[in-house]
Amino acid sequence: MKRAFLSLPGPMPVKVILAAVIVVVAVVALFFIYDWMGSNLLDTGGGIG
Amino acid sequence: MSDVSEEAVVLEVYPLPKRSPATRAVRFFGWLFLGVGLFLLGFVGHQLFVTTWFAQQNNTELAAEATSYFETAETTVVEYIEPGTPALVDPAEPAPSPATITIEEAPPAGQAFAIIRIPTIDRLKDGWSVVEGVTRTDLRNGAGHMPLTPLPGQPGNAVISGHRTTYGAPFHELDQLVPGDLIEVETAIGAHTYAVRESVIVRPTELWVIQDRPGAWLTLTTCHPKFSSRQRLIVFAELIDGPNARVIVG
Repeated sequence: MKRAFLSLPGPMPVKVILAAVIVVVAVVALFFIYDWMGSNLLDTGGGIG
Repeated sequence: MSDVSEEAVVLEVYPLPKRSPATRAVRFFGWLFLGVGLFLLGFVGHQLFVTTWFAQQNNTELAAEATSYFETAETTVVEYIEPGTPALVDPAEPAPSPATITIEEAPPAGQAFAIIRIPTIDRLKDGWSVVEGVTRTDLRNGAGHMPLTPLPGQPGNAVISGHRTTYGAPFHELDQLVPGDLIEVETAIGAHTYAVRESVIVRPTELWVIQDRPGAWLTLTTCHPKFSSRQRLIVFAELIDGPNARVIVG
């Protein structure tokens, strides 16, 4: 994890900003996948047809 | 000064370990299972807590939106002709005075237009807002009215679908309803009270449950069993009280 952080381009402030952006994008993508899985497998909302 | 280079010393002191293929495989599968486990743990947490938190936040806003909609929705008083009434009447007989009911325009998609309350279910005691539509986005708020079915309080079969385990799970305890339990739905034209008549479990493709019915009915649909979308739990309730009840039900 530390190595991946240090391998980000730019000086330290840029690395921090890039890491934050990557984390946010990853969390949003993960929630999107979870949402899709939940809506299709766990609980579709009870619709008929 | 030593004549041995620094690199050589490092290699001698820290020899690189050679991992066998079996060790590498164990490490690989260890990390893989750990990753899958964390992913699934996150999934469960997201479905049970995150979606519910969002739905509850939305529900508070939607309840206010529905209350505001009650004041602005267009309602009309129309003549009610009971199904089965002959179109031609004897001109010699005096025409009966026409019965009237109040109807409201279908709300736009996604609009919170009703509040459902079920006194015997803790989660629905204080009411849950109902939006127009049953798309995935509509149902993120918990409960949605199926378009092309009558609105609650109108003649026919009004259908409301809701989540059972996620997004606030408004219909989590729908299986606890028994015949005679009351369901109240508040709309722009007033509060309509239904009495539960029957619950059935069907496949998701059984369209007969949403077909029109004589009188005024409310059909609640949700996933069954809990934590699965394999089947649907259906609750049929009949209108017994409300602005239109006396005319429609008699």
